[in-house]
Amino acid sequence: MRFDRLHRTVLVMLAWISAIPLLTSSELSGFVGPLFCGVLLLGGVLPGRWMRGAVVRWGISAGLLAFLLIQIWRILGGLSPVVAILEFAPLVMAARMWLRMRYSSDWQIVLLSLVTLVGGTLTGPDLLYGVVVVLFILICPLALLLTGLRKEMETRFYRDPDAIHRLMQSRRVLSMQVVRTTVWMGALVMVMTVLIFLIFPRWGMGSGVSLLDPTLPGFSSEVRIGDLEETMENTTVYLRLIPLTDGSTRSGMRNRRFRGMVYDEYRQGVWVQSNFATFGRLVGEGPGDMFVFTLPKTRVTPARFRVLQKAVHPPLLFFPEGTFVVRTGFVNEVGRRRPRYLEINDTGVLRYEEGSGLGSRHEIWLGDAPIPQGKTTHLRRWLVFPQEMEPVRELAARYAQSGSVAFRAQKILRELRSRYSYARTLTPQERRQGKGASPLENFLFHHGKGTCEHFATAAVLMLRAEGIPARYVTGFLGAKWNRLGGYWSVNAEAAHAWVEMYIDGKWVTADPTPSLPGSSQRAASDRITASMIVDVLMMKWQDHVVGYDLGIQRKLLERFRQATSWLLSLKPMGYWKILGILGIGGLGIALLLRWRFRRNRCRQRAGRGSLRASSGIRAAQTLLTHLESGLQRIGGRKRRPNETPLEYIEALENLTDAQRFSARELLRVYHQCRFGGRRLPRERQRRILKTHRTAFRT
Amino acid sequence: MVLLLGIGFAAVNTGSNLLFLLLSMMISFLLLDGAMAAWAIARIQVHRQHPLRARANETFLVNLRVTSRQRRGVVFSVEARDQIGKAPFRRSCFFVRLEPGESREIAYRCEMAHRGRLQFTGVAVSTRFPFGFLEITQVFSLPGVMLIWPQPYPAEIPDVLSTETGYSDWQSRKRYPGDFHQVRPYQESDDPRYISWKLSAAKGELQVRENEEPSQREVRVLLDAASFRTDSDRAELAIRVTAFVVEVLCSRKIPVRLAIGKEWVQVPGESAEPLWEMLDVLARLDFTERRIGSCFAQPGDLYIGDGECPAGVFRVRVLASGRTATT
Repeated sequence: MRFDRLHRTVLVMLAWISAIPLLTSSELSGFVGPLFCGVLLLGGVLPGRWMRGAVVRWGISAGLLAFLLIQIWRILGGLSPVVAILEFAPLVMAARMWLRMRYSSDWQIVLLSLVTLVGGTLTGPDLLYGVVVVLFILICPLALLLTGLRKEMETRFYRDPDAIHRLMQSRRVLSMQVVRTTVWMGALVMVMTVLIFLIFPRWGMGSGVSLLDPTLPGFSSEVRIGDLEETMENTTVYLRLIPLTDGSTRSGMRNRRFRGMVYDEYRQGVWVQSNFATFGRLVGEGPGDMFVFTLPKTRVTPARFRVLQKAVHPPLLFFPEGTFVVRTGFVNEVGRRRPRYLEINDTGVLRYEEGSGLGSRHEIWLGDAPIPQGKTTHLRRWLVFPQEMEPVRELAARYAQSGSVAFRAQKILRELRSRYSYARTLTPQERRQGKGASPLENFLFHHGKGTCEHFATAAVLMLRAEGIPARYVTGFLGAKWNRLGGYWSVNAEAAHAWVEMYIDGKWVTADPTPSLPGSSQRAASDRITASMIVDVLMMKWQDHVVGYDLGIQRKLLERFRQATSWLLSLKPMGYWKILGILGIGGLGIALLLRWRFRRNRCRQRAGRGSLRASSGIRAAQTLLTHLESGLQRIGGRKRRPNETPLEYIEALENLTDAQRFSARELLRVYHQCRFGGRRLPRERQRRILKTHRTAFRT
Repeated sequence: MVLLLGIGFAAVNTGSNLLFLLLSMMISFLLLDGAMAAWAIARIQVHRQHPLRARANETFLVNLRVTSRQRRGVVFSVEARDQIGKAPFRRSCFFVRLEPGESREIAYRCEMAHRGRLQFTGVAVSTRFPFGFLEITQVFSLPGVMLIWPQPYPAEIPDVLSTETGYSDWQSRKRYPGDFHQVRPYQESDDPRYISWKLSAAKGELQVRENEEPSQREVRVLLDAASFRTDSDRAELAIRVTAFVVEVLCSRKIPVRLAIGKEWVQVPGESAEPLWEMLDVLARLDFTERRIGSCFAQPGDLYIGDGECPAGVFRVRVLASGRTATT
């Protein structure tokens, strides 16, 4: 393969692969991806002579300059400088593909691809990044080899541009064997990367930088009705719960609620955390990093889970109802680890200490603990009813009728479930109804269809109208069991809103939504699907690579020590036994080596030992076959067994002088290849056979 | 390297495992580069071929043959640099690709400004294969010696041959300069000037008179190196003039005997290549050596030096201006 062509292809691949994390990131502008791909592909496909023109070069440079000015203008307009740089870097790389004249351009492309890969770490630590790194490691050795080689050639032969050009166009410099070797090198680099990654001490300062906006609609301090729907359209997995105890694999996680945020005030279609947003540090009550924040009702054996939670903003800790102990993970500081602290507010909403932008890893003990009760002195705040919702009060009175608090509450919830239906989308006719009214009024008084947000909001307001303290809670409902990975996963589709009401001196959970949004998914969760496999891979990536820290490093070291402790246990066996084992092992290796040596020798004798011999002999056989078939066609007879090829040529009478000459020439090449050790490149062989066919054409 | 340090700093500062991953990748590339480069040149053999003699200020070729003894794996970008004396490795040959077991040769041009003994010490084989981050070098000890003859300095040579010895037109007479030897029938290749017309007339066919070869008289060239001991430039010039004189005389097939100081360098008939031997001595000559005494010139000798010499000696003086004068 031609050196220049392969080099260009490899550089295009490297540039493209390194830019994938950036291009797929939603943080960058949408036009960057297509622009980058277009410029890069054109730079890789168009012939080099087109790009050497001054017009093209000046055009590309002017385009880059213009884009730079646009980015500066956008930075002045409020764009993050980091985003601006990350948008600019791939385009510079793509433009270098157009302007590559010497090896320095190729080096710049390789370096820029690495810089782009570094930039990709800011946009998301997901599995795609891991795949990109693996591909980069596999391709980079070839790109570096070719670039280094081009540099050497251009440096050595700078006085002879023709020689450089010849080498660039040459097919002899590179072969498939070289490409294969570089792939092996890539595999070796990968192994070494893993080893170095594992043993490199984690002395990080923990001041992580991320461009990701981890805001989860429906979970910020102010949520609008409709925000959760946006989250439910997302399939990102936010929680993974890995069972650590035997009985915890099937402990009712399918319908478990994962509590997130609690809201108290409703203002014109927006739920706000107004009075109870103050968080205080949760003081650990258990040993070390364990936080007991509520006690279980009965003494049941708790199920224990390790939880991997994706980063969200604000850093809420989603925990399943019934959780009573949280054991936080650790935060790496310079050369030490300390337990990550937790914050809690009066409604039992938990927040974790954020630093790395990678979310939280913690353990939970799950039992039948009630939801955090908070201070009962502030109950009046849960009764605040918005003035503009007076029609709702009337409706609540109609639904609740009379009776005890619990009876009225149940009545309201039952009426909501029966009279209204769950729907994610509305028909155009339903949308036209009650135009200009608030979403809640539309839901209650016009079309009667809505999501959990509508149901929960309506329920809270109705309960408050009846004098029952109630609050609006958002979180997740239900987890999917991943059979392959052996863990529970909660994705954004399971986002849900429900109600907590204060009845008989305690807060209880109630759900006014008639049809649960994630039920169909949960029913089908026992099958192993492709998404399940991808999720397992992503979990492994998050757990073992992104979340790798000093603690895991210590555990690995301990495991390694345990694994190698058998060496120490050999001592009581006595040295003679050890020597015996080593001797037997050595004998086995010696026998294996001898067998390999003999096999190689046999292969060499058979002409298959070295590439040189085998290719020459194969070429010779091909030539002789063609020669004999041509002669047979013209001469009308086969070569006799006792006749040498030369005698055969001389014996045929109806050959012309040109044909005889061509046949002799072919025979000469055959002899050189068969017995003289001459190598015959494929191209040369093809040319010889073409000449031969032309001469033998009748 | 800057990028590596930058990523390392960022990784430690942020604690981001993705940056640690990239850092590990870059360290792996560096380590593999070094290991592969060391592997590539570990089984390389180098041979040097060079002429044994060359002239100063004339280009000669030195051949470097590099053989890869690897059983598998192509080696790229191998550079062999030759070392002359204690100078740094400069003369380089570049091999783009070496197949397993392949041997390739490249010659480089070399030109020495001064006469003397040229000592090759070793060959440094280096490679930046495969990634070009590191250059690994292995030095092979390959001693070799060659002589650089002085560059001939054209000078006016006194006509030592015409005055007393009668050698001036010896070149033109070649086969017929000596005493009468015999008369024989004319052959086609014979010079018509030596036809004896009288005898031819008597015998009825052309007869040629053939003379004996003359007894070859040598020209003694004396280089008084001791007289230039204080002036190295003139000494070098004198050596170059001597080389020129010796070469001219040898080209005329005149036996030459060279004396440097009191010592005779070469006696005619003792060496198959007398000129080479004399030039070798001139190449190696160290005129500052104390044991080189002054010459004792005799009439008829060709004396090159500043010392006193008796009458009848042909003398070539090397002037301070770099010119020569003959007396």
